Amino acid sequence: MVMFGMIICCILTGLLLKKINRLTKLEFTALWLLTSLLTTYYVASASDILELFNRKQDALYLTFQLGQLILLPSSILFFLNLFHRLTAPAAKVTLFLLWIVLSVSGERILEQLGFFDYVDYPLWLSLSFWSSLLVISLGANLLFRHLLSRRDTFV
Amino acid sequence: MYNTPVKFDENEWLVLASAIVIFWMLFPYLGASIDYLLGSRNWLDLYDTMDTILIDWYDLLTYNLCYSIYGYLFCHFYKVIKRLSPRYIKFYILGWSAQTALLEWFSALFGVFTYKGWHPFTSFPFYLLLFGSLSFFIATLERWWEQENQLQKVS
Repeated sequence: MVMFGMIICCILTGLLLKKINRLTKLEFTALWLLTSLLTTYYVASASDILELFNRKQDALYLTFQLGQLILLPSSILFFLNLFHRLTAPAAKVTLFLLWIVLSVSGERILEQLGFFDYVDYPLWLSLSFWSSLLVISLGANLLFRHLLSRRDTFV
Repeated sequence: MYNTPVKFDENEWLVLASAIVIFWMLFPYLGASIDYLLGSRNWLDLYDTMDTILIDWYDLLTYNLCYSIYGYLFCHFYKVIKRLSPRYIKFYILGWSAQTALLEWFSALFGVFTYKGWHPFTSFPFYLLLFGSLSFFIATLERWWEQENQLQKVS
């Protein structure tokens, strides 16, 4: 079961990464690290320190961790790729809102499947986390793009 | 030999900032990921960090401050030695791995790490693998930097 979950994680990650073609390799690396770090710190703070939810300490743990370390960053990068593909502001806003809804729904489904248990975790906290993560990722993407485009030409 | 910039101004600061960003995030990411995978209760449970089996604030501080500064120093001196005396790179990686294993053992004496299934002697080959892989990663990042710089100049 654990192997099955891990294989699913890896396959989904591979499929998402294959579609990413609007980010440079350096942008990709920086954003991967940023989203992974933010998620790791948030999960650690919310579960171990603030005890808002409990991570399962059974066979599902490894699948949960793998999902957090590889599947989640690749899904955020896929979102950024789609975001850059769209030109109309209304479409971008729609994608942003849709992604938040999908993320919160996905989180609730994983909780029902038993990957973790909510202790004191209201819906507004889920919404805040996912929207903050997307906003920070978007902001970081713009910043990295700006930083990388400002290379000096050496004489 | 690299050419020097015409003037060290905001361009150079931005380039410097972008290089720092990736390396500053890489080592906390590696530290947190490896601790989650090797130190988790139900997976391998080879060691615990700090006071409890759970992540606490000092773990996050360690990742953000200690690991990132130490890792950045590794990258900085790696680049210096690669430029000045490339044939000593292997000794540098060996020495840095030994130093890190020693620091880890020293930290364990103060309770930063509590070994369960892990032995300090295992740390040296582990760090050798880690820093060896990192040197390859640094070279890859430099290559991507040059490629994207060339593409930008052409466009």
